[in-house]
Amino acid sequence: MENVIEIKNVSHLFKQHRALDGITFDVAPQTLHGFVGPNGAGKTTTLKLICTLLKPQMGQTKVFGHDVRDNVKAIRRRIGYMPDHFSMYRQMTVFEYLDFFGAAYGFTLKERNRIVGDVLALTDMDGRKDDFIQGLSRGMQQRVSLARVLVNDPDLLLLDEPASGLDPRARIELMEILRELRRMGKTIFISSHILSELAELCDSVTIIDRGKTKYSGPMEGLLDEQTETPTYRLRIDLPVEEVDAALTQIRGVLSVEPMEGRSDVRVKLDPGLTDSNQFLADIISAGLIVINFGRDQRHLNEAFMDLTEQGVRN
Amino acid sequence: MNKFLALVRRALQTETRLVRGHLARCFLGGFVLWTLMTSQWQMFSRSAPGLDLFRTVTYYNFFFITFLGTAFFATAITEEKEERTLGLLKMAGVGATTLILGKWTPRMIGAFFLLSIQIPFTVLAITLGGVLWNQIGAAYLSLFGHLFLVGNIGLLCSVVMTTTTGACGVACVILVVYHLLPTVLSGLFRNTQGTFLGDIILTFSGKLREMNAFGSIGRTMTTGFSDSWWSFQVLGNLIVGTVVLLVAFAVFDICTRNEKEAGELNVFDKIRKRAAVSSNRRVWQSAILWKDFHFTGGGAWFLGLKLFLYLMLMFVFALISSGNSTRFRQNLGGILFGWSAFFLVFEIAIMSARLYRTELTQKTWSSLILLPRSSTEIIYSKLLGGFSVVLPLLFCILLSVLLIPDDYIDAIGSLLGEPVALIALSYFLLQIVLSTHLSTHLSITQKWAHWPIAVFLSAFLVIMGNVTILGCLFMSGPGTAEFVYFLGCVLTGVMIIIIHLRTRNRLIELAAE
Repeated sequence: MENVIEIKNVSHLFKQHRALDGITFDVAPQTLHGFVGPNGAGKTTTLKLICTLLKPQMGQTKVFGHDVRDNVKAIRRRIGYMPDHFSMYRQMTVFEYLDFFGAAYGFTLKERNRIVGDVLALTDMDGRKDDFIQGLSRGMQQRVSLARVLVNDPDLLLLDEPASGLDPRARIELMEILRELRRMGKTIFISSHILSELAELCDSVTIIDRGKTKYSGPMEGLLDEQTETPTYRLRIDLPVEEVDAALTQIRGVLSVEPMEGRSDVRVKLDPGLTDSNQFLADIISAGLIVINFGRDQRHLNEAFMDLTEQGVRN
Repeated sequence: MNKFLALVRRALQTETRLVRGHLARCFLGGFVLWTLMTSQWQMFSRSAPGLDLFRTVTYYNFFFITFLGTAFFATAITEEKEERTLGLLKMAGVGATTLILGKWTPRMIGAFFLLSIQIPFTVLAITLGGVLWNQIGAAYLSLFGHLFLVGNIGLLCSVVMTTTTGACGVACVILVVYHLLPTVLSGLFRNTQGTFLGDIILTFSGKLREMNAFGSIGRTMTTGFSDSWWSFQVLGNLIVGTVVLLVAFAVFDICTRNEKEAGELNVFDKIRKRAAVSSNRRVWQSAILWKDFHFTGGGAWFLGLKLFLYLMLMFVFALISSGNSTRFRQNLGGILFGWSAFFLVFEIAIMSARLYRTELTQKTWSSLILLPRSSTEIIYSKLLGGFSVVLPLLFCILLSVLLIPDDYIDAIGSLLGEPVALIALSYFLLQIVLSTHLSTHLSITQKWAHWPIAVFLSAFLVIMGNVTILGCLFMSGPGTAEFVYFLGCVLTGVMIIIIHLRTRNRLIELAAE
């Protein structure tokens, strides 16, 4: 199937500042693609190029096979862009706001009745449809913003840091909605500067720094590429101070570090001597009771730091 | 004291670094120089060229201070409110007095510099002849009194209102009322002279008129002026200005307790919501038109209220001006047309300066421009919706046509019979279009150009341009008026097209910022 987004050697300059420096990546259809980079890496510029707000200066940007220079209307009909700031008519009610965009997209009254009802239900905003946007909490406003993006039933959603500034509950609810949208067959391109936030959600990821692509591919690929020493998080039914002694007896264990403020330990393994299955089997054979075992997520942040720290140092 | 000095220093440093202040002074200095040159050319055809020069410069100063001075001071506190830094300043222990004086002083210094740049030129007016030192001193003191009053009115509005736009709007309304009230009161109560209340109101109206710097400058410019510099106008302006400043101090804490976000709800939003919920009213198929009808025009209820107020105002003026005359219908028809035409220009200018600026301030422009339509279509749909603001005035003009149809037919007939008048009318209409374009362009390109500043600066620039053109017209020989107006039309048309295209391109660029 044709890629939804194809970016090839795209560069963009703002006066003397090079915001993008030859970035290249693709996004496959019906996937959730994370777009990660530190602040000022060029994420928003890339998103604006994809959604046709910016005209590309160098390189090729294709969306649904259309060049963004030539087929602006065709692209705009099939995308929904949610910027990184709240851009809403706060004097409108939630229903008016969605109805307004429905009419602006050219839907008839009958179609709008159905569409607005659907997006309100999807974002769980039914009960607040007659409230002014002005009076809604940040999390609620973000949901309205997402509902607006869905009004034209886009095939591609471009979300610029949608979870920024939300409390943990609102974040979790937002991620649930995104999962539901992926199940509905939408392609979601989501930018963030926090990789771990996207780790559980995304099928693929692109990491950029200072306008350059540092990694682009499946999420697992990022882990494999970056993890020279596999790290696991483990909780054993023993006092923490005894865990170290018990685990260092097991073959292939390089180090055991207690995790600050928790009963868990972080264990680094020698990949040449053992793997996760063998390691788990050895623990159980040693008579230890495993309460919790999993791959340590910290390596995602480490991977991100490894890929981007050069830029930070410079 | 240190906090006050820190604020003044920061403001002066910022102002010094910005090019706009230097440009404004340069522009004003250049304009005075141009006026000086034209006065020198006309030296031999006029009895007192120095006085003419000084009068022109002083009146320009008066308008400059009235229009831009008010807006300049009206940004003092609201700029901190809009940037959400007022709370931080208050938490840092900066009190009302420090804050107000810290904001007021650099603005006064800036205004003083703007006036002082002209002093060397105006002194030259004495060399040209016809004006005395006494007149120059009295005129500048009058201007200072006026600046003190309008500046403090702007400052008070800045303290009371939450946004610069609101502060500028209220300050403008106060100034319009301040200038019109004496005429209205004396007209309304002229028949009650001799009664206790009538005498009080007429005396008050007379004093208010005497306090007006425009009249005071006129008296200063009469040949043989030898009064004191400290006129009633100067003292009155200083006293009222001080009272206004003290009120600003008094209400500061009450008015700055809560920070509010942009896009506050008003009573008409609540009426619209109630109507929408109760009668299931929906967004029109022309969605952008619907939006701007409600949010730029104010919606049906607001437009209805505006129509009622306009009709009341014009009816009262027709009553006052008609007196015992039997020609009330003609008078009302004329007033309906004249006032509507005046307000029409004003309303269109305000609308054009607000239309796109609001979208940019609320950061909604990018969402709108991303609709699958051409940018041009979106921009013009908004303009069409914005024009709903003039519906009440168009109704007034229609009413005027119905009241005096014969007068309209006569006017059109005589206009068509006079080609010069037709060209002149086209020229002035084009000037209005130019001014509107300029205010739109300023409002989207300059962060500081809130609508009153954008509108008045544009009007001021266009008036200046016209002074130059009319200067050329007066200096030219007979029979060249048609040519000058025609040339003016062509030049204005070219400028309109350039600004129009630049505005359109800038709007498209701004969607991506």
